[in-house]
Amino acid sequence: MDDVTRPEPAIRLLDLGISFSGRTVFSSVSCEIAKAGPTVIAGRSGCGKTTLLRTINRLNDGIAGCVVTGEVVAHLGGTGVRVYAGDIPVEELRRRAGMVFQTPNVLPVSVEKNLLLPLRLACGITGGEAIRRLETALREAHLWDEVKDRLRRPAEDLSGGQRQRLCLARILALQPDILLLDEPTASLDYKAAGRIEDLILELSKKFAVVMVSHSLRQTRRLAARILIFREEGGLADIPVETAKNPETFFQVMEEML
Amino acid sequence: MFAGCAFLAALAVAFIFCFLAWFSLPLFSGGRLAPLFTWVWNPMQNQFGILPMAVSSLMLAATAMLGAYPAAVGLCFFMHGLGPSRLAGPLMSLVRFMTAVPTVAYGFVAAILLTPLLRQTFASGTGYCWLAASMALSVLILPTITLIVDGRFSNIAPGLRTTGEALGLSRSQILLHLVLPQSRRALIAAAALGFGRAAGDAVIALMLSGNAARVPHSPLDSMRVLAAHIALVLATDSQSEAYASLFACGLLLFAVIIAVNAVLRLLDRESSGGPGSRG
Repeated sequence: MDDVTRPEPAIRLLDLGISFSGRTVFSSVSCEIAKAGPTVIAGRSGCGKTTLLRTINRLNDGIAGCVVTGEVVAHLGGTGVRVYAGDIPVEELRRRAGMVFQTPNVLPVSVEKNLLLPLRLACGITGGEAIRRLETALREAHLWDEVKDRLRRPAEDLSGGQRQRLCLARILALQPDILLLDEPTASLDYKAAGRIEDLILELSKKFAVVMVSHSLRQTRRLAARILIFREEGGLADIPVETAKNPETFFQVMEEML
Repeated sequence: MFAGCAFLAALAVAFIFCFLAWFSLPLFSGGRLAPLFTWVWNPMQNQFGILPMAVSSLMLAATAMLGAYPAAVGLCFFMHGLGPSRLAGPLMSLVRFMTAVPTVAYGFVAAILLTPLLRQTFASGTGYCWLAASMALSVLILPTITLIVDGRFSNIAPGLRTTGEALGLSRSQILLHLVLPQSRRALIAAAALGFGRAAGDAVIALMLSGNAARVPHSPLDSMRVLAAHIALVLATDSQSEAYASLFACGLLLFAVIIAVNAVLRLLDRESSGGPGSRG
């Protein structure tokens, strides 16, 4: 495709590397991730998938001894921003590149405060606008019907799947450009995981979704693009067509990992 | 095992209360109690009013808390995100070390360094006053409050920090709006223990407050608190009416500390009760 007509990638990793107190987790990773997705990152445990995800929204910055080399360019708010050159305040970056973790990390407050508190503190949005965003986000996360009568109940009373959808809704209320999902179904049962997967497919039509997954079944089901974090370093593409045949897919994965 | 220890501790407290109540019993007969709740302590004139000491105890504990409590909470904020993480460890070691310093050492250092400074700065009095005692007492109770609040912060702050940072909150917002509200019980416990320690301390007050048995009208005035009063009278007397009044002092001190604990617990129950209150 011609460069002029090609859409701006949602994320560009430019010779990216990270180390903690001198121990290198990965180095020289370069890759472009399109908005159309979801893009699923797979790889062996401990190879740095989660660290890569957290490098995109600078969530590793607070860890002592963390040194990042290279650059991440993220397409946020209609423009490409250099994440590590400080083109954007780190708080705004994290709001626009929202992250959902393996274990649902609801705040120990009510369901509604889980959405209203970040809205007020991160965006300065209160009152009617905040309520509108709350309802829209809960509907988008397919949670509204289940919680509309218990918005003031503790979020911790929700089931695991509901809590994870609440975490997604909390991110959606902040109107992000990119969703970073770190094994979002890892702590859920099959049925709850299925609902989250449906939701991810739906959200990927609106947002750039980058997801880490350990499940080959899930990767086959969701991925519009599969990136493998290779043991010798670097990301490698696996053609999505390969994933259509489970046997070939598993064989290719085994070889690449 | 913990239940057993808690039971033993409760038993010890009950025993102390019964001991005080038993020895105070004679005061409750023959109209001997009323003269104690007056404003003049002058044993030579048979005046045994302990109210100045009671009021002074409350005033000193309150002002010591006024200095120590915000400082301790601020220190916890600094160690849990507002300050550079490399300073958190050394600061915590310093706070732990402070708990091991004998009270008399604080009193001694303050008597040598602080009282002359106050005397010169304000050009008034001897420097042995409410302000001197209050400042030294603040330093004494600071580690107690810090350790309790830090214990809670250490438990919840790392998880809330990751969540908050991923939502685009700043470190101060995370501490102020996520960590602090979730630490209500620890904050109340720290206030109760800090106040109890300040109200019950005898050595700092004895060494620095000047020990005049009257209610101070200025921070530079001398004062005498109940605990110091007990120590002073006990050192010179064991027979007279003044000695007998000490049991009322002990009982009063005990009652004040229990009352403060009860009020704080009540506040805790009120603020945590009711549906949706966690929100």
